[in-house]
Amino acid sequence: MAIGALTLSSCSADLDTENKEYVSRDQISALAESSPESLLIVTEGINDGTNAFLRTFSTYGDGAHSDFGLKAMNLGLDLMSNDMVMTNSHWFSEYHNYTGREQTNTR
Amino acid sequence: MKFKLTSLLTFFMALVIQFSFAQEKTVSGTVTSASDGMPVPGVSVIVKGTTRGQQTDFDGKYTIKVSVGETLIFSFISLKTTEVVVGASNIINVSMEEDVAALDEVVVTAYGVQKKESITGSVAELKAEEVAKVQTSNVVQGMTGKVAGVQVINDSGQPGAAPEVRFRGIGSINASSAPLYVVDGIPFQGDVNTISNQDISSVTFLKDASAAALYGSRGANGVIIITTKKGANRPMNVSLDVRTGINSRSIKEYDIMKTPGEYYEGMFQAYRNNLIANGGLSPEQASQYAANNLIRETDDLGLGLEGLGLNYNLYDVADGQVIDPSTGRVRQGANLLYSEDWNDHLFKNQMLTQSNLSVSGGSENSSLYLSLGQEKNNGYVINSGFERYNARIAADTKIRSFLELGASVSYAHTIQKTVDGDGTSSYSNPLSWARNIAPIYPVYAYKNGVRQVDANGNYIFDDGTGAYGMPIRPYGGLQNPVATATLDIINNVNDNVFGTAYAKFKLYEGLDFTYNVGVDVRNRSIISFDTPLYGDAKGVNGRGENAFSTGLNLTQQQLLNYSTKFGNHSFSILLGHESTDYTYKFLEMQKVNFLLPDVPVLDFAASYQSSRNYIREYGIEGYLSRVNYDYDNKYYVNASFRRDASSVFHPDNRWGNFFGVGGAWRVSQESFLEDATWLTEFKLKASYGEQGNDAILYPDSSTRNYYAYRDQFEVVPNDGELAIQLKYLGNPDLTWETNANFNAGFELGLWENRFTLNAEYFSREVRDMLFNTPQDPSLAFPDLPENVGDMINKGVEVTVTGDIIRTEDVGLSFNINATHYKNEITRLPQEDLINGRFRYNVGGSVYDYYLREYVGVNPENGNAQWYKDVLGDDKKPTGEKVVTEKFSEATKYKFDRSPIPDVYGGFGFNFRYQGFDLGLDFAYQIGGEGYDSVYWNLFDASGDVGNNLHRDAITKTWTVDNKNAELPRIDTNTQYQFGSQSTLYLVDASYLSLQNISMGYTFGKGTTDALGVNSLRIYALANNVALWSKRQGYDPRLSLTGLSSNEYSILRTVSVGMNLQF
Repeated sequence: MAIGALTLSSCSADLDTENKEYVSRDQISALAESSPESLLIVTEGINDGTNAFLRTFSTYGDGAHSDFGLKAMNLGLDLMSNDMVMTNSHWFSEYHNYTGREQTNTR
Repeated sequence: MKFKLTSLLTFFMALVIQFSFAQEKTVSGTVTSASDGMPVPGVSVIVKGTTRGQQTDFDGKYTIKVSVGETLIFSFISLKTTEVVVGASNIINVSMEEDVAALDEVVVTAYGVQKKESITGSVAELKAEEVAKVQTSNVVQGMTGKVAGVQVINDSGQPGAAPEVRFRGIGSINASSAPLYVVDGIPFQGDVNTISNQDISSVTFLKDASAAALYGSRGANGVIIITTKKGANRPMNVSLDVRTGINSRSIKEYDIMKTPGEYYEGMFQAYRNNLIANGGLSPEQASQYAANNLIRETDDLGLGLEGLGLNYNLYDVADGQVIDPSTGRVRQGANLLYSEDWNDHLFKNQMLTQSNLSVSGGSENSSLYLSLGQEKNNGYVINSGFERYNARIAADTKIRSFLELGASVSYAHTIQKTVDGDGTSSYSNPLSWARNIAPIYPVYAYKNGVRQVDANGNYIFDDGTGAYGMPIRPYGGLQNPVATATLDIINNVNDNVFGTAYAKFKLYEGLDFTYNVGVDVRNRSIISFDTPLYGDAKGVNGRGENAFSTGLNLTQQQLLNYSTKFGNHSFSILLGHESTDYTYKFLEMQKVNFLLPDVPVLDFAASYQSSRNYIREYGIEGYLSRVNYDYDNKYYVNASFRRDASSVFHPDNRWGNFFGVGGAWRVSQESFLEDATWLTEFKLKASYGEQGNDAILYPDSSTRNYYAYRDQFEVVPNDGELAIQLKYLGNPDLTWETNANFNAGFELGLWENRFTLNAEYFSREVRDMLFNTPQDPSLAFPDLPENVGDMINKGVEVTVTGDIIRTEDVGLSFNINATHYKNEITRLPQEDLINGRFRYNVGGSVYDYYLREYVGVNPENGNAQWYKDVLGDDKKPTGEKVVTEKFSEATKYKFDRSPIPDVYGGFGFNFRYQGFDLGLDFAYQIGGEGYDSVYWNLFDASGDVGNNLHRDAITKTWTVDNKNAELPRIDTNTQYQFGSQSTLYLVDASYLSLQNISMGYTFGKGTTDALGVNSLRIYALANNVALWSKRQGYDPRLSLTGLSSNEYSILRTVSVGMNLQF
């Protein structure tokens, strides 16, 4: 019976799906256009988002412990300066040894 | 007994009636099968030219009234129809021969079934008997080497894990290359491990466009159709299958150091090498210093060099006395206080039980199938495994002459306990830990050589933090995988309901309308709880994560079938519409600081950490049509067309057209071959078609991107304020990736198919590949999904089967399959793209290695050497290359070497003698080079102190005393001596594996009659019995690219079982 009711209610698939995981540009634009207050939320949100990005962990997406935003890069650059010693082959050694030179490759 | 009584009664009744009709008499007899002499129930016995008929009963007996001179026709599916003229005798026993040509008559294909000879495409089928031999919790896991053109790669031996399947090469780079699964005609989103192997009646593989085009948008990477069992027109039969077995790891561990002594000696050498190479000491000085400072720093020579700090001394001598510097060996007379092997504590040969009870049968108009199943597989890693409880009911009934109804519902409850960090190098992963921790670090805390116990009398684990008077362990502080594997709770519980229903209306002679509905509901609850007592979460007093998800997949199909025949022309036409809606909801929360160490309920925890909640939706809609035509069973055409829309693409680019056309010519049916009785079947076939793929993945992820045409932003936590970040770029122009498939081949069957050969050539061209194109880093959005790039896979596949001996008592048969393919990129958005150790170029394959070129070892100092480019004045390579000993200077080159095998496949033998049967199945791969990072990591003494060594790291490496060694020196301080992403890591990935041995005995009629059952079989099965590969410990089967990692070894399961039918 339940299946019968289901089939009667819809015979075609819903192809215009809404974003409910990552918000879409259209959704944000619609919010921004709805009122001046909403526009503020959006502009401030994007501003904050950009700042937050500077300390986001795993921006590359593979959970590397040497990927935590701007400070990771600062540390990495220090390690490339020849002023710092790194005796152990571990996280960040790709900076110290100048091997992390490609976009998709760290060590 | 009841059947016998009925037949007896009938017999008496018939005797009585005989008196009244003098010219008629009653004939009775038994119908047996010529191949095995067993009685055949359900044979229809009809008097020729009349409607009078009977069926044989369960013992193959029949009784019928006939007159002398009339003809009896005996017919049964898969047996040759036999006619007997009634003579004087009242008993006619018939022995019916197998109709070999008709044996595999019908094959499940897209949206229906098709006669095997009418298929113009490439279809392979595994029947229930083959499937029943598979012991893995996910049936496809056990199919390595079984089907030509289909590669089944088990990424992990974790019970219930889904394998990777690749049809005829590689489908895409940034979109999914996984095939479509179809269960009982409904495209399936769930987990195959929810289906019990015993409930499966066949598994069909659709390999080319002619076969798979009806699945249009989703068939590009091949289709696997799983069909479950149904009832049939026969008396109710109960089948009980019970087996129990034991699991162990199927391959040996790498030859790593197992005793504390050899590890101390190994690290002494590595440390001494360092002191000579980097510290400038003489060999004698270095020996003395290394021995003194190996375990703890003393700097007694006042050289100011670092000690090694292994920290644990397992011998009853002073720390600096363990190694005798004059020999480099453990000092004579030093006694080992204690030593533990982590393997003994992390791995255990555990049990497997599987049982299945099914009832099936029916009458002319209705049939029923019921089954109940249970499975428990504990794998071999402690506290891991898979459990399933499943129930299934399928009923079909013809309620009116024009209306058939049917439905099936299956329910499965599965519990999977996974291993922490399976396949990764994370310290909490037991597989990684057991091979990588030095054998000098114990599982439990010791004092004076005695294990310590806590107040409750339990042994105390050593977590490396220096607690309980133990030294501080330099390797994996805070970790103890025995403790965490025992005390952590990782539970993945699934409740899956899969229901299908259909109504089939007969509108007109030959014209049917079918309405199919399939509902797949999957509720999942995942608990991931890190114990507060040991490991990562000790500092936060326990960390718990609870996740719930619901997946609902609703598919509806409306199918109109028309078949007709005039003269020698047969047509079968299908028109249809299909729509699928998929919704996935996810909710997860994480908390820390738990009150009780063994109750992972979030309300028992104090501190909120994070939560996630999202919904993913996906819709697909298609119109489909197919015409199958044959002329006189000689010439066949299968043509299909499908128009599909996917919610992944922008409305303007949503619709795609897909088709497949195939033709076949059965040369053996021609009159000019009529006399060639040895030639049973000879068919030529060819097909071409185009299919689509919409399964683009998020960049560097295996998660599908269902909204690829939109820019997607993430709301990130920012101290309570809303913060928005652009996460993924969208592309409204994005559309279908197209697979153009060409297939041509022939099927040959000789001597009533005692020998068959099926050979096919295929070319699979991927056009407008879905690709996440890297953008300029300054844009901060690394990838844009686009349709760029083309790729082609060309190859051949061959399957040969033979029945060498086929008599009533003895049978011997074999089968072999082989596939060869070549993958080539033909168009790219940029000249070249680098992806880790691979580099994409036009003309190369997707898996062409891009690595530093390892040269060898400098015999003077033991340094590793690589090549680097010589740069000209313009800073461009001149084409020359020179040797360098600096890893960071070494140039990466692209090689014409890849993990793609030259040939892969399998072969098997089946033997039977009377009731006894034996089967052997092998899988193999020839060529291809894997990348064995696990092995070389066991040479690197410059990483974590306390990382274990391979025995080759001592015997095969350079030292001042052995300057001709083949490998560079091991060194505690020089990094990259065995550096990754170099050709040193490549290893031949060829293998041969003995996949299955099955043995069984089917009891004869005497025994089964005495027991009052229909059939009884006892059997023994062994899976993954042996592997022959290049290097001990290296299993090329575990990865598509031959990459070794610390994953759950494939299980060897040895079991015994019984199948009883009554």
